[in-house]
Amino acid sequence: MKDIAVKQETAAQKTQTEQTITELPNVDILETPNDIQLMVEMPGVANEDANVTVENNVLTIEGNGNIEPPKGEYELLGREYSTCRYRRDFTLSDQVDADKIKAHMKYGLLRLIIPKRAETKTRKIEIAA
Amino acid sequence: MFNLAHYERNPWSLFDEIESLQSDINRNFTRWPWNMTSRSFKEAYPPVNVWASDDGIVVDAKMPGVDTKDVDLTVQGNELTIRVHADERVPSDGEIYHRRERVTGEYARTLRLPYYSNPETVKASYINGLLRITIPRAESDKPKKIAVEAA
Repeated sequence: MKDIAVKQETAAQKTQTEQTITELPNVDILETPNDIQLMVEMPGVANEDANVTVENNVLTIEGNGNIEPPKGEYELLGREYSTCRYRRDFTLSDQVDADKIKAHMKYGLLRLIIPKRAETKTRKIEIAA
Repeated sequence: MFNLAHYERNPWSLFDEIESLQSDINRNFTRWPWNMTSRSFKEAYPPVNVWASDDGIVVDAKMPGVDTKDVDLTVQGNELTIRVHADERVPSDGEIYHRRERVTGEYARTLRLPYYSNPETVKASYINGLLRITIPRAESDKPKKIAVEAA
């Protein structure tokens, strides 16, 4: 019985999440000789509310933050953003090693380092005289 | 009312300058209803939510990944200016940007607030890339109740 209750609750939460608007986060993609780096902007998302998953070569980045009104009797006077929830998918190439992705988050900026596979790293070839 | 007093964004390329000029033109033209749907209208940066009560204003700005030492906040009269000296993030040798959607370089935004405030009472915090600026209303700006005496 207890299990069912838990399941229902999660399903309700899921529907609620699905109904909430999400924003496409701004991303910088930098390629270096050894890796691909993604800088994903998710302001308002705490480190523990950011999720990065890889499934079937699709990298999914999600962040679930909330708009917190200030304490006191404040009313919203001007609104230029309506969500702190983000989601964006990227298809990964075979040339990167999805098992070795490193993620780091600071000040609402998620930094992902996706290493290239050894055989695809840039190599300098010496030209014989 | 809450309105934009001034908005500037330091461009990193000539194209952006043209774009910002275009957005300036668009902004002025949006006053006419037939231009309200202009798609090239560019949003001001950083985006803000403004909260108000009788005692003051709270401004929340979305500005992720900024070092607090690169942020200059000034309050003068009823104007708040947020100025950020962000890194240009120039790629080094062998590095290529495939996508650059984040704002680089220096940018600033000035908001005209509905109340006057005392700059010394203004507080700011930076949590998870959201900058929250709390601006209490100046005592001298608060409405004063005037007692009516019966003669």
